Amino acid sequence: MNCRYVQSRLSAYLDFELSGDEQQLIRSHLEECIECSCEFESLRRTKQLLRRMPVVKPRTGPEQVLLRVRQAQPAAPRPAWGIRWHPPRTWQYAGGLVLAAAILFWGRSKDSETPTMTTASPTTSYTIPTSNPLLPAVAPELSTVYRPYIPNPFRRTAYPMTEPPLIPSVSYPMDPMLGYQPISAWNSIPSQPKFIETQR
Amino acid sequence: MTHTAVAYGMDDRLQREFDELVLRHYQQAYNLAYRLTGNAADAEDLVQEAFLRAYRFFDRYDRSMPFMNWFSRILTNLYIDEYRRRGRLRTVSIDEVYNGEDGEEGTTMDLPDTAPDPLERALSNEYIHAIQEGLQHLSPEFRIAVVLADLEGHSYEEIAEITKTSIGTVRSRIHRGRKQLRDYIQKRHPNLFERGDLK
Repeated sequence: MNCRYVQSRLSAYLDFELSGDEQQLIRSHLEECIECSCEFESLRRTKQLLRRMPVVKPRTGPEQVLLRVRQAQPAAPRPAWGIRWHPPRTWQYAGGLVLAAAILFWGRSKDSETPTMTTASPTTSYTIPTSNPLLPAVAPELSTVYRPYIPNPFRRTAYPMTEPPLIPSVSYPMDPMLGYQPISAWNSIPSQPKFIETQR
Repeated sequence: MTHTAVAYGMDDRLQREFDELVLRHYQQAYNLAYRLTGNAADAEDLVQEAFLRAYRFFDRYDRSMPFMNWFSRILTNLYIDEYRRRGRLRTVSIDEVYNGEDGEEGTTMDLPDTAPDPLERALSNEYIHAIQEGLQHLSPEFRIAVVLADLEGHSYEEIAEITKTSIGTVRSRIHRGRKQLRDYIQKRHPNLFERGDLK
């Protein structure tokens, strides 16, 4: 710790505005350095002199001030929406989130557009074209992907399993134009389905 | 109440609050203004202008801050504006030295060599005048920092808030201001620094 450093901090030391360690270091330096302690004493005396300056009493009371204040008009209140428009905090946060999401997912979507597919031949590799309605359809032979055969044990063998019922569905009173039962017909809906016999 | 009345008419409660603040802080504000300007006439003008401005912008006053800190900011800003506008023409008026308006014991003047210790009692008018003159010789930024720290007793943090600067700036301003002031006083009244084991 050199004298120059100490002397630059003497006022702060005097006002207890340094950290505890620094305060301690400077105090120990002042105990051994005469030059710095002389400087410190003169600054301390200056501060003492300033602190002993008396409070000046005004010639006039505050009435004059109050009178002038009464005559004055307060400034117009600041408009809620100033000339420089600041968007509300929530909007700012939302905008930031959208921006961050866009930056994040822009990169992601680029990756997912070109997935690496295992192809049958090691020399040629085909990419699955994305179905973009704006772009013309890709030639089917280019879009075919040759994949190794993987047997599916859950593959359905027989279809359908059951025969369809021979009896047609129950007829309800229905408005053919509307496609659904009119409200007026609700009361005439039978609680029990009516069976119609048909020839087999 | 019409829209204009709402916009321009101050609430009665606010008005009363402001009046009370003026009454409570007028003395301190005047003291600060006097120490900055160095004479009564300028100090009165400065205090009036500062209170007017404070009144005009009272709706922007943040109640979490002590009023005097906020007001000191207004006053020091006004003072710096005025100082720059006017230049250094009027600093100290010599005729106001011993007319007893400093609240001191009138025209009594202690001779420095007969006084046992000038710091034991209140400072004599001569010393007060010398210190005030020394303050006027500082640059306004240094003067404001020194006055706020040593006469008003603000912490560095508060001064940084009032003057809207960093604590490092405040620290260096106070230090350099005190050193300049010390040199000025020491040149004119070396006996103030000759006490005890000093030098």
